[in-house]
Amino acid sequence: MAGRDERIRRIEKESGIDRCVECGRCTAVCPMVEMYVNFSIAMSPRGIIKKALTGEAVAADRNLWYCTECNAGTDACPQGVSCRDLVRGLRRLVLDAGKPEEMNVCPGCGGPFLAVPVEDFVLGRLKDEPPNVKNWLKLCPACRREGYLRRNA
Amino acid sequence: MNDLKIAVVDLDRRTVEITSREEDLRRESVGGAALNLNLIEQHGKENLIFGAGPLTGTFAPASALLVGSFASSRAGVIVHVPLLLTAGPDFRCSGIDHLVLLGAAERPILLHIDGGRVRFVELPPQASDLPSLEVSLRRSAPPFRSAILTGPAADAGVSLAAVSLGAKGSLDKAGLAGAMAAKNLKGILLGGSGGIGFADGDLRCSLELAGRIRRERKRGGGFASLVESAGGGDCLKALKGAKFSDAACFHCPAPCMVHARFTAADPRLPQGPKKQNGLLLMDPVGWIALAGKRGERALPLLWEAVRLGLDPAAAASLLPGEGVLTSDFDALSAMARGERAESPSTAQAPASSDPTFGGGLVAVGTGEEARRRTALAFILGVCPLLLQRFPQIVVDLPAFLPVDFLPASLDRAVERVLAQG
Amino acid sequence: MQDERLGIDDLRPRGLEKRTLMDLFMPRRRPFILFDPDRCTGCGTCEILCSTRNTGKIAPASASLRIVRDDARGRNLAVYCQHCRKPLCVEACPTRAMTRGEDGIVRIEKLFCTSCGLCTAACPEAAPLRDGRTAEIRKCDLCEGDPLCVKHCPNGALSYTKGKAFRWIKGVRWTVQLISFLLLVMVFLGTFCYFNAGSFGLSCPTGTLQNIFATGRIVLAGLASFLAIFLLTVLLGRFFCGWLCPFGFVLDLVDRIIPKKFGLPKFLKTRMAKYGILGGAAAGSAAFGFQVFCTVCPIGTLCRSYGQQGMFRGAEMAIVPLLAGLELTERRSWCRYFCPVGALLALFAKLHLLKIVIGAKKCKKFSCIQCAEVCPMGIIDGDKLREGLSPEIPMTECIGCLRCLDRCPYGAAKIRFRWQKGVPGEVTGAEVNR
Repeated sequence: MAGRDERIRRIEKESGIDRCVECGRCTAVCPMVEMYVNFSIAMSPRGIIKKALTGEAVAADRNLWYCTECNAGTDACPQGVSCRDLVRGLRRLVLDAGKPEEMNVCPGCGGPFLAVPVEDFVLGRLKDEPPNVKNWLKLCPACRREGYLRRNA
Repeated sequence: MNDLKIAVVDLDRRTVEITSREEDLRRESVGGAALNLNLIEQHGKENLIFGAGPLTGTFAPASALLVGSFASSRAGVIVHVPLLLTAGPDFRCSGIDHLVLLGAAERPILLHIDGGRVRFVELPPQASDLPSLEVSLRRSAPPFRSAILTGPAADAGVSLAAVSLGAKGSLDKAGLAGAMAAKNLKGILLGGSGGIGFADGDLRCSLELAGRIRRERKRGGGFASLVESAGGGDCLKALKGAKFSDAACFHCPAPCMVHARFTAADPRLPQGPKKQNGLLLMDPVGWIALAGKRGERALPLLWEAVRLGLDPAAAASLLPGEGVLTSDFDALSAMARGERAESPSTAQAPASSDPTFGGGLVAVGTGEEARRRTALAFILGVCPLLLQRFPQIVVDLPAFLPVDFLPASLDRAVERVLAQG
Repeated sequence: MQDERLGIDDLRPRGLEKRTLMDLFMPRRRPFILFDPDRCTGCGTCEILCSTRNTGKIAPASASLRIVRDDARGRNLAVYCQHCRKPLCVEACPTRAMTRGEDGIVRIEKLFCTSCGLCTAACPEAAPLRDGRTAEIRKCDLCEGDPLCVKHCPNGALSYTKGKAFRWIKGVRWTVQLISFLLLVMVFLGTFCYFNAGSFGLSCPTGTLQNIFATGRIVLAGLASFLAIFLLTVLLGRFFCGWLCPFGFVLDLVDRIIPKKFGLPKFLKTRMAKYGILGGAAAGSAAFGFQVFCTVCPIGTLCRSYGQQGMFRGAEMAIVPLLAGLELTERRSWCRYFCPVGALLALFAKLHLLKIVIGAKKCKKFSCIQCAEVCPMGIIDGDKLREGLSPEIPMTECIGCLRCLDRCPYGAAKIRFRWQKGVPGEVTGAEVNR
């Protein structure tokens, strides 16, 4: 337990969340706003950072899994806080402890692929596609490329 | 012109020091094997140096060379082992031009180079051979474009261990793997995410040169013609029944390697669809040695030798006069474990391949001129075989160099490298 | 290598906005990059060139195309954006940074792109690539019409081409259809049902069948042509339907003039129905003693309508436009679901010697599907193509019009002998990673 807290502490320090001034620029550029009907501050970068700062159990939060890790928030931040490093680090922590429900694994290689809400968004946008294409898209990019390599080369 | 970045890694103390050297070092030793020599003199003969040349990773044709230099007790000189495929460009794109390895690590370790930084990486557990090591590293290590690895034979300290580019083998017949194993260095992972600058005219030059080379090379040349140059023409019969695709190194317009797909008669070999297995034939000298002894069985044996990180030529020399596939496989495994009596030198390879240059290069040309060309290639960082096969492009290579290069320093560097031989 | 003269003008000619009459008959073909895995040596020159355009340096990790290697089989694949006609990445991009232009190029608008990578997640080939150093998303943009990778590929594995579509098949087929219509309807009056010039007989196989059932006798003249058509159909499939049938010609004309389709209710869309009608025609002929279906057959109506001996005039002619109206529900719906002539030919075609394959290797899979769109019988499974697999084409349904061959720009559609197995088999998701 203590080791885990220490890791969280280190992730938080490396992402520089202490410098956050709550300006909200990260949330302004965040693509999640466009993606989720149920978008809330709790899943926004600002929300995650705030939760981490107040010391609550952010690693256990479901809202951690909506982020696409695009890094637009980091680019926009005037203080150089990296929301992606925070989310990534915390996700890695949860993944190391075992596969969480909120993460899909690639059926080909078994490695973690998209977070469940993100994949739901993508497949939702592609709802008119036939089911075999959707199944294909569950594979991670490397497996897809290898699949085409085997079939087409 | 690009800054010369030299990384000095002390494996004992686990420290890394990156220096940007001034241009005088370039002027004096140009790069590649000659600069490696300079660094060996500077840091000591017990050390291992990897270095790229000024043309490595540029638009010069086949600019794929990375040179591994060390003092070989076997050969009695400082030898330079050529590492091709994409090793050179990936090395330079990882942000450094030369890597100096001092001391020895206390336990087997890997280095990961990217973005101009060198990191220590722990070995993944349970890697019994090179293909599984590579797969394991792809999962556990930071991302890398290519890797220079040593196999189980090197772990056992066997003198016929050879370095491997990924799991594909190499032209190492001088014991670079042994030099790495002596330092407990299991491998070097090259991130290769950076870039190499070039001048405006290089693109056009490259296109022209590639066009000329393509027009000159013989139809179906490549691996077969190299084998013939090495005097192994009758070994080509052993290749029948396999399917081939040409394979080339970085930016090379004249492929001299083939990938061979053969029917995997032995159940120990991994079997793809239609019971096929495949490997890259990049080492004509090794191939000739195995084919000369075992004829058609040479393909699966070569595959096994590469898998275990053995030099195929030396392994062939240690195989008994007669044998069947299963006993040969056992023999190779025994060799990789160090249970076979070893021959004292690498001189089982055809006498024409020069030990100064790793012992694996086919001597396409002979004589002093040819040696100078090879040395030139090793200094500039382009494939020596291309220069041997198409000697007329030597005059075109300086076009890719920065303007302030003096031809005099190039000659001096060539002399230095040859003098060590 | 590059087709001569291809450049930016072929991709974005001036006056792109104006649609001309020619566009109706000969749709504009855009050039594209074609990769031939048999010629790739894995030298990576394409990545180098592409990266110089992206970053100004030689940095293969920052290229918009990637060479994926299979070391066991010694094969390589160039992964790059195929500029799909219905791009999935455009649908998935949350910030609408992906757009498909008028010129057909799918582009990333850098202003809106957050590099979230959802485009890669949506692309079946995962063609948008993450830069190894900066982590931004990069994608092939055909170098705006003049691709660098093609110019420098030493072995000609990459080519910039408009494709190998035959294009002349269409002209030949329409001509043959027109001539056949004129001959069967206006010249050889009353023919296809029954034509007798001297000792030469030419008769519709279904008509012959009904005749046999109705009269209980086999007329030799009729049998000869029955066998002739049988043999030709075994060899060439239902080529009659695609090339000779006058009613088919009428249907194709309707399809050209009124492309809009209204769809059929599901219960009517069963291909077996036509066999039922064939059986009914035979049974009816036996029961009533005359060729039941021939009286209402649209082909026969056409063939027997013209000239002085024309049997059907006036109200009976209404059969033709009525059944031609079926064309407005679905392309060749008459041929697919109802025509008993086609049904009998389909039975003959079960022994087909030739087949059409859409070779999965050359096929550009999800990005194109033009063959499935252009097939009038709707027998090319676009869903399978979307996944990169080669669909099985039922030759009993194929009318041999060769529109698929004509249209495929990649040369992936081919005619093969029935027993040839040129097409690689399926690879399921589970087998992808050993």
